[in-house]
Amino acid sequence: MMEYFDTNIYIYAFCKNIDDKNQQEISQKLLKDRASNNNLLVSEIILYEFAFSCKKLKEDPITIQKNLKFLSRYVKYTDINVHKRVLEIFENTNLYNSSFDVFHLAFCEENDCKLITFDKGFKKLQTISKTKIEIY
Amino acid sequence: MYAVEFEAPVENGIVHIPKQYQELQQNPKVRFVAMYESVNNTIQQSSVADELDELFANSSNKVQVTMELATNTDEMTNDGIL
Repeated sequence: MMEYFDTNIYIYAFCKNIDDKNQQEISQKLLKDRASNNNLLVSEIILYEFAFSCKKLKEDPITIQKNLKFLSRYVKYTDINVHKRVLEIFENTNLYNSSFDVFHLAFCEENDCKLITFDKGFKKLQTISKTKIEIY
Repeated sequence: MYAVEFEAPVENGIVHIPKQYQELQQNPKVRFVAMYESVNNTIQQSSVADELDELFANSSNKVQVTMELATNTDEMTNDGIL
């Protein structure tokens, strides 16, 4: 099964200055394994979130760009069905303030992949979809 | 029809049959099914891992990553430009 990593996994994998070494080891191991075996899917939104967060963390722009280029190899462009599903979830759940997370969930649903994250906020989304969410 | 399974080295196109299956040689015709891992795949896998190691080493973020910073993207909708 293909896997889709939330932005926080990439942040902990690529950034050297982190507060939790264990999270970094988990992220780097996951990324190396899935990227090497071509089991990784990335959405454009993930790239934009990653770029935004790296800038906020004062990462060197050249480094950000290199990381984005690497991740771009695994990008799958968003199908219109993802957008439709996001709107449907909004309508049924009122989760407008978690719009990016809802997008990630809908993207995983459409592409039949597992969502991996450190964000415990995804617990609230576990009940509204068949998508497997793994929270580390 | 009999079937056996073994792992064997391949050298210059010759498959070395293990001793316990030497009787295979007495058959004029044998059907072989080969399962193998592509050498190219292995090389590609290690090069992706090496590339990632290099990218990881290049990082020099001045603000320390915390779970709050890594998971909170609320500001993306309010960057202060407008």
